[in-house]
Amino acid sequence: MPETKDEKVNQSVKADPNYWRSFEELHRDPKMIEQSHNEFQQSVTDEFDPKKLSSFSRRKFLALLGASAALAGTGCNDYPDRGEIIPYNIKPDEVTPGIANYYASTAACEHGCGILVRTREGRPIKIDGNPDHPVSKGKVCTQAQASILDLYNPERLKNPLKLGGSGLYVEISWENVDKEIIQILNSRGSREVAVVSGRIVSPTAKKLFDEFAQKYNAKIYPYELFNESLRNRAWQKSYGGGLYPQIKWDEAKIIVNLESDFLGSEGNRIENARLFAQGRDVNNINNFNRLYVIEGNMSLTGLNADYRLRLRPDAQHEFASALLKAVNGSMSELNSFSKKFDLSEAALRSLVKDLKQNSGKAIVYAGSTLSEEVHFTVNAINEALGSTSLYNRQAVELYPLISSGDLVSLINSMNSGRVAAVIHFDSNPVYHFPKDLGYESALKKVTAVISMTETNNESAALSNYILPINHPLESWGDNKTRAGFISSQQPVIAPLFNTRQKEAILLNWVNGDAKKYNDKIYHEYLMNNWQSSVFTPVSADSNFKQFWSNALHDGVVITNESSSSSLSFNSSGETSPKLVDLNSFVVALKPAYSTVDGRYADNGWLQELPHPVSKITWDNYAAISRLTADELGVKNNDVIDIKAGGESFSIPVFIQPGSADRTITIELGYGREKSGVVGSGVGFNAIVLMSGQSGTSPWIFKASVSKGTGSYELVTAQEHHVFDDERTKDAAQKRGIIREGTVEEYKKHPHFLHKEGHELFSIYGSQTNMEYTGLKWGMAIDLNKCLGCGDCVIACNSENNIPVVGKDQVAKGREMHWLRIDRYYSGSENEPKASTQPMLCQHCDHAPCENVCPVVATTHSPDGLNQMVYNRCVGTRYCSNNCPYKVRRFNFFNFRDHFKDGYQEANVFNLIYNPEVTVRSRGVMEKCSFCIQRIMEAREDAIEHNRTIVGSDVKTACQESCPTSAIKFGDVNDKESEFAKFRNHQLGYYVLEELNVRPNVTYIAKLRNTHSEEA
Amino acid sequence: MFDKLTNQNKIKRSSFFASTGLAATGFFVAISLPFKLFGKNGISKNEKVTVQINPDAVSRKKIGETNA
Repeated sequence: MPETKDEKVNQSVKADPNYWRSFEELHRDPKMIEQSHNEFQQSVTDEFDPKKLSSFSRRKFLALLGASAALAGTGCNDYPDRGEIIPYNIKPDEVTPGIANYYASTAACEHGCGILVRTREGRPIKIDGNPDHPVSKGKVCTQAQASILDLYNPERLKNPLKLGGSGLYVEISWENVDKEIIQILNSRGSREVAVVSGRIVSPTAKKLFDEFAQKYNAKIYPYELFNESLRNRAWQKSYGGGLYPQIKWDEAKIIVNLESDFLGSEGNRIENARLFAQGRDVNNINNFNRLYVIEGNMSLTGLNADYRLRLRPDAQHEFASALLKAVNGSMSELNSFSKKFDLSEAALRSLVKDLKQNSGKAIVYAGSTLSEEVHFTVNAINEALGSTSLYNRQAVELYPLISSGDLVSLINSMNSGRVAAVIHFDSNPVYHFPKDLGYESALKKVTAVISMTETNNESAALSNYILPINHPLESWGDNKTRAGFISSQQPVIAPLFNTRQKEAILLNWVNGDAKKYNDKIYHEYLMNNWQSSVFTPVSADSNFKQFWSNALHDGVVITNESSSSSLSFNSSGETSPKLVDLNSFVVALKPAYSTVDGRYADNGWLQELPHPVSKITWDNYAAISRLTADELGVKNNDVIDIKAGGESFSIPVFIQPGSADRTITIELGYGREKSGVVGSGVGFNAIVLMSGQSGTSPWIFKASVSKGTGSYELVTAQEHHVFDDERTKDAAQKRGIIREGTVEEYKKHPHFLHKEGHELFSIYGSQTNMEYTGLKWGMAIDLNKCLGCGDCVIACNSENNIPVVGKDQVAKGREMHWLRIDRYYSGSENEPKASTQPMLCQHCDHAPCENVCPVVATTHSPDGLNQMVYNRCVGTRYCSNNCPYKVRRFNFFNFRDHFKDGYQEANVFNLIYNPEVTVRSRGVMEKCSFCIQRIMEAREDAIEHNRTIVGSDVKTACQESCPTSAIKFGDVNDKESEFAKFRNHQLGYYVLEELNVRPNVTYIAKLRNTHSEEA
Repeated sequence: MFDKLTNQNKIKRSSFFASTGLAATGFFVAISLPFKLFGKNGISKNEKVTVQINPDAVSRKKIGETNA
């Protein structure tokens, strides 16, 4: 190899002349030869300076990249160590790992339904009704079922708090807070102590209140935002005393409902629904009841009406008066009324005829928000019809609720400094009381404001002391709302935090010594009270300890009280109705179906449960008619301004089919500001429109309404199609998704539903059906009994660990409910007929989802179940695409982490999960499994007892919770079973049967009990 | 430092061990730091909760089972 440039040049002089690439090379141009020794063209690297290169080498870059990736990976840990699982050293006697225990107790609300709490390894995981309770009979409402979520609310208060000098709350020990409060109570002088609570339904708590009142000159102020006070006052005026009775809905053949949602949100709706549904039995067609509903806005009861008339609520007195005259023989006023309010004369004629022909078995029932005058008139109608035989006079009121006069008196006392202390006894009066009374400002003039509450609320935020209390599942108690029995309440779990039972706190103050508190004081107090007041009257020869144990075990004790029966009507209280100005707007306030009066605002299950009528979630709204919307110039989601009683309020509208014109219906229980992460800022607080001044009804009043500014997105889980679009009008009926008939039609032609037989097209060609020779699971849903209440949805959520996803995800259709209640309208927009239909996985024999899964994550079991294998699923979503019923739900996120910044990932929240059901993560498809965990449990029990499993051994969660028993579940192949009557019923049909996917959910067609001329 | 023998830039041994040690320390601090403790809602995810049965409560093994 040449070492110098000259030697290179010399060598090139000697290159082979036969091979050359250019003339310069051939002729040995010196310039060319010199250039050929350089790799690059001249001046290419003239500017190259190694010193200017980055000192960041490739090696360094890769090293840093790897380190950053490793660091990022450590921060993405979604699966924190949950600690160790170790076996018991000393196993509690009651606990057998893997086997559930049940505790009978009482729901925390004013109705006091009996509940049965299922626990696993000491923690409650599900609340159902107590089948032994005479009122609930194994069923319980959505709120009671969802209340278990409140037990594990991560935002529960954990320690007592005292307002410090700097305006912040500081933790204080129980002993110190008791000492300070006892000191305050003892130094009250002649001033009063006010205890503001909810309705008192516990006899033992009432005894305690009496003792507290005596010791500390206290007055008790029980209140409820929605109550029966107007109805009871009218009853007392009509009959001289007592309380308005329960109605025997099961014995009523004709029910005329005036602005009352007795199936949805009024009274004990579970009992009402159960009794009403007994008159909707397709196997007892001659005893079908008929429901007339006259209301201002479509309610759950209105959805299930045979005849429905829309009438603004302030016209109900006029209507009731005209109806009374019609029942007594004169139709003229009713005819003029129907013309004035554009009601169907034919329907009203049928109504009067039905009432007269069914005397003694017909009932007219007015809603609790209507005025006292309406109730009086309705009592007169029932008296004229002889309907008093349908009254069940068992109601017991331990402590009357306060009147508006009592409340005004309290606030005046507070303002004038005559109240030493106000105790909010698990109540929230700052949120509930009408703003014009000035309760909030009066609180500032009270020396000590003490709030006993589970979570922070508007009243606690203005208190000097906030005392955290036990959840009802951690509390002792009793409940008496009817004559004839008393219910017991027991704690199914020891307090999770440093909380105390509210009655125990009060009892400690009665005892007067902060140091003498122990966890058992209220338990002993309760037992002593039962020993003296309950045990003695009913005991035979058992000792009290045995009696007490039995009472806790059963959850209820039947007593020997009888209810009064004689009634003497006083008709002198009848008043003439005020005529309604049709041009004015009327506002009707209702309790929310889910959050009731706002107490459940922080409950994600209830906020996400679609409204039974509008299917809106996570918000309230102003329901108006189409005509009213056009008049105001608004459409859905536009905001309107409402002015009443000097207050102004803005809320988005929703055009509700069937709403009366110029009637604005708003549900309360929303718009809370201090309700925790879930409930704060959700919806609009319409309580500002209420007035504490006396009027005919605090819930129905005139207002001025105008179009507001802007719009607000309301999220609905189901749209309804435009009524006048021919493509979609009555689509559900045209496609056979909803099939209906009338009672008359069914009586004449029992097979009317299947008169057109046709061969179904099969996409499976000549494939023969699989033979299910053994047990095959199936479900039947009776649409005559299904009210659309949604109890089944909450039960399913609770049983199957279904996460809350939040409003933004529901807006994208990503709610995770395995079971949904579809609601369809037919007919005209002003007078629609509504139908509800629970829709869940149909567990099709020819499931279109099973064939398309690329990883065989969805399979079919030998007993007819469409199964889902979560750990195989890779999330292609092809199965959901293929499902004609759209019942598959996909986990687009790990919603436990996604919703409210990991709210559902708190340690305490994890206690709610049912250990028998997998908690699904992101990217996995899920759907109704027919409660396979319950099927497995029944199968294991059958094996253990050496018998064959039968269909009636299993009750799915939805079936168990349905108050009307509309859902049946069992063995398709067992022709002798109760289930078979519905599986093979003449009215049974399958949804989208023409697709030939062979679903295993039979729907029993709905029958409307209309008159034959309309059949 | 530039190694004339191999014509490469090499890290000094002391710097290497210093930066490796620092990286390892950072790694273990990061995995033990509860990042989500300072989430918007202030809900503590790691709070310990003890489940205890109330010994005075009376349970039953089946749903429909009374003493009547």
